[in-house]
Amino acid sequence: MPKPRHFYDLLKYSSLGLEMGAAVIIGLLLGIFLDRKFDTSPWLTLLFLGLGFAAGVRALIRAVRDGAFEEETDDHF
Amino acid sequence: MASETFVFLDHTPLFTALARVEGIDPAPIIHGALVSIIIIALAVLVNRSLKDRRIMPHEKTLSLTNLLELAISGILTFMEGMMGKEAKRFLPLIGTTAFFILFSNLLGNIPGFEAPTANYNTTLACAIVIVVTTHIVGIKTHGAKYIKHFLGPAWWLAWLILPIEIIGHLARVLSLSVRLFGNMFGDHLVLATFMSLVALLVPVIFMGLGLFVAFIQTFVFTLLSIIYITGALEEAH
Repeated sequence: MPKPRHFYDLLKYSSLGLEMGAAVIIGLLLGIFLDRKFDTSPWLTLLFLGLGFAAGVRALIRAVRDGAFEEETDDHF
Repeated sequence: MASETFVFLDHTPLFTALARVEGIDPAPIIHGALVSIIIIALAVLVNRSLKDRRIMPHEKTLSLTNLLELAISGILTFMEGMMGKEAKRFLPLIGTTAFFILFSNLLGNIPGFEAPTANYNTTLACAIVIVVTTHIVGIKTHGAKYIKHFLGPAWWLAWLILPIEIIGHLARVLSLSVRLFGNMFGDHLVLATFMSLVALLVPVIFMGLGLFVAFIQTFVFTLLSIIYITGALEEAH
């Protein structure tokens, strides 16, 4: 059986796809909710859609950075 | 789909009492309660057998106590592989969610019962508990530094980074709960569809697949919870 740390890496990157999609959906829903509340359609929806996309990309960048960091320090795999 | 199949617990007095309340779907509540009762019963049984165990070395026979001990020590070793010394602190939370989700998933494989995790409310509750715990852990171990982490690298970027971070953490709740719910619901749906097409022998394949999915999804949910909590513990860099 492989080491737990191996599963850790596998799941960390494989869950990234769903997390990016979820971030966009959360941003969109938050924008629609705030638009209804303040009656400013469609501006807040567009703004939060962009923010949601940015959140997804940020998660991706962080994962890549962590992965690069681990590659420097680890000598296995 | 649920109206087509026969469900045992739909014919209990508790179900009819709950069904009278408006805006409530009683099936996942009752099945969730059933899973909790099963887990509590197992815990009580095992605890009793541990009390009058006279010798420390393991019994040779396969008993319920041995089986659960194996499972729990397996979870603990797995957690120690990732969290190190902190693993024991989080064993109650992670172990309980693991057992709850595993038994919930497996309950859906018994004909006449529904999986509580095939309802979005149950999985959302589990995900919220986990993600809220990660933030409590983060604030407890790092204090103000943890909150500063949400504001980004520079103070003049804070107004942009803060909403992005909040959306990112809400997305974790969504992805964690949707993954479990989608798999269990989809599994249920596939089984129901093939059951209505060919009732003989063919559904057995999908029941085997369902058993596999039940274990895999428990594993994935537990592991992701451990990853999130570990992330909150070592936020420093």
